[in-house]
Amino acid sequence: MLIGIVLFLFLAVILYDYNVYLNKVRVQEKVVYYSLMLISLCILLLQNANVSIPSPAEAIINALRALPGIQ
Amino acid sequence: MATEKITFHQSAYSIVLFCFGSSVIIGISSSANQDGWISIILATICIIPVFLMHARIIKLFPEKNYFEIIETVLGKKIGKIITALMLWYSVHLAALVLCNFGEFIQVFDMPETPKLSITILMILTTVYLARSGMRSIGKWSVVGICFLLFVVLFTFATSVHQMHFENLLPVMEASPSQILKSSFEIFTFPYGESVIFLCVADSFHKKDNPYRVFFLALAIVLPVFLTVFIRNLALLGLPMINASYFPSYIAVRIIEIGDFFARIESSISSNFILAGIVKIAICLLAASKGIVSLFGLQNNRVFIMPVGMLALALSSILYTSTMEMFIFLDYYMYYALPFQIIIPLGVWIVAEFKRRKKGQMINTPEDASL
Repeated sequence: MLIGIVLFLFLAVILYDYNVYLNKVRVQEKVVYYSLMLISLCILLLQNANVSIPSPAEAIINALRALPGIQ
Repeated sequence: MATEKITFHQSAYSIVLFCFGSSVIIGISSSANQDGWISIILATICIIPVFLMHARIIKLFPEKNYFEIIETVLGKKIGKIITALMLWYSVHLAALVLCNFGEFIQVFDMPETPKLSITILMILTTVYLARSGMRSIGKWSVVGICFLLFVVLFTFATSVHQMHFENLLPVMEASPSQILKSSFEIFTFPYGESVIFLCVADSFHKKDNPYRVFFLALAIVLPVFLTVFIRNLALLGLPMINASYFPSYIAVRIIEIGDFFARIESSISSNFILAGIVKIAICLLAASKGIVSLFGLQNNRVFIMPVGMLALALSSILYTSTMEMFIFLDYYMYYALPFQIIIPLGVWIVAEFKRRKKGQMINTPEDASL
């Protein structure tokens, strides 16, 4: 169900953006746009397919704990 | 890149709503227990030099955003690295607020609804607001602040008869180190987060004094934070505040006037939505400007949706529970310090040094040489 919602969201958003913004921009801008969308889509699909993705919060906490004086 | 300008009051009110963002609902730090009000005042005093620094940076580079300033001051290579760091912070902050919003709605209003569907609606709204431009955010802030101030004053006034002001006593029971730690927490969350405003500083009018903008914002934020803290503490008491994740909501929940007026806690949710939307929208706008600067592109409006989706994806993997979200808050002050203090301080010092070295105003056509 959630995977369906995510796919529908991305499809709707890209269709809308293509008509309103993307048909007027340069190739570099399109590349950056689609790359960011692809990263987000992959994270959301994996997360909703119950694939465990390491949380950045955990990494930040572990990195900070390694510093002296931070418990 | 032509940028929409916002008025003096719109700028100040956006900063106010940005500061309220999630702190309205999460509550102001209570690690200093009933002495939290001292921490709030102390944090406000400590943030003044930081706000002066932000204002000075804006004054030195009028109508430029933070990313342009960074590149001008630090050069292309270091500039790109710092831009990437600030871009990460903007997206992460948007994801954090989005996550707070999702957790809050799920815990209190819709426990059966998946968090993702709640955050999708929030992110689409904020993307729409951010794409409407800074002027729309400014207008939204003017309306939002009126409602927010009304709710804070109204909830305080209607709950006075239920308050136990003895909850504020004894004064200075917390140790000085506890008070200082709590001040540091408030200093980084929410005050320090206003560094994101530098990223949209190109929306400020050149004629508006940035010092006055920041001080007006601070003059509104401080009394409101104190009012909210005193209201929550006097209504709930310390044990209840420490036991609850969203003390403002719980505090307003118990307000009752006679037999006919109760359950006004939805006003707190409305406050959170009004302020949270501004905070996320500004973070998205900042991140989109960061992308444009990082990759040398032109139209930042195109990238508001992708950074919004990135924030949505990030918010879905950040925490697995509400408790985890609050554990991260304990580390947030250390994590945020480089973005909030070290980077702007470095930029400011280098800018001042180069300006003095050149012996001329920095905002002249010779800018490029800096």
